[in-house]
Amino acid sequence: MTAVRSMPLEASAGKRTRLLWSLTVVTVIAVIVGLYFALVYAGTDVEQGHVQRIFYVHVSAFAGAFIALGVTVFAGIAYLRTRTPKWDTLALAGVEVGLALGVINLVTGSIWARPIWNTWWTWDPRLTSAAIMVLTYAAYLMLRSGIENADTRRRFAAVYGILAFSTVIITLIIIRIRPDTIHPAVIGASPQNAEGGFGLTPSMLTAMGINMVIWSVFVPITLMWWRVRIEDLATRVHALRLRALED
Amino acid sequence: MPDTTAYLYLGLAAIAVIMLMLIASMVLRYRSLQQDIKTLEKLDDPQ
Repeated sequence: MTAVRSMPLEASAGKRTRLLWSLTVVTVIAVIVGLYFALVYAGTDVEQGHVQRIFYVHVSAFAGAFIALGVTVFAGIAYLRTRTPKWDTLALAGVEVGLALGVINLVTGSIWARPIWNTWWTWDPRLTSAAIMVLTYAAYLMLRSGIENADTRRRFAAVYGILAFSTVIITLIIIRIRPDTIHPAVIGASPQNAEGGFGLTPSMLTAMGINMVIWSVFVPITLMWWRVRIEDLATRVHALRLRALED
Repeated sequence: MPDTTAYLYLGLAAIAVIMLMLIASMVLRYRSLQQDIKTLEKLDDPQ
């Protein structure tokens, strides 16, 4: 009877695995296509040269981080409402992926700044808020790994994940509310003091749009799905260990 | 037009390194957990 019942479950798991692998292949191809549009298809900026092409991934990585960390907020709220561990797993996946994309955004921005601003780093409001955002989520991972009790850890992580999103919002809007920032706005009008801004030609706009979709939809969803898989395996290992100890 | 190609390559290398670090950490954790499951299932089933 058990075997009969478990068959549809196993078939469903196999289907999900095939779907995940298919999504992974599609994502890898999409990233390569996105790089083609960024590095070959889009025209070269006459003032900045080829380094401007970093912006196609720099901006898109932030969009991806926004989505992944937004998933953490959604999952955190869902966990606090239902106390179902699967939401905590999704929230954790969102933070790990969002943090990696946030680091890509920060590092590529610094590399772009070196030839354009003549410095690797400056305590500009946008750069400072982006750095605080990355450090806040790095702290999330460190703090949650230090809490032994599973319920306390999940509750703490849910509340932290929701509150930490304020750093993402601040990073997003700071170039609109702080006139002293020198960071250019790629979409919309740049602040008055912005240095290194550029107008998007039709080919640049296409490259930006394609990369935005790839890095904010395909990349975070695929990576979060794999991360959830790992956490599910960890839960299974924990259950097997407990059973082995009981025996 | 200024020649900033070297910075573009540096940026691409940084993106590749960060993504590969994330993916490698996931692959290592996945393999390690699968190994743990195999070992624990063997312990659970003495046959």
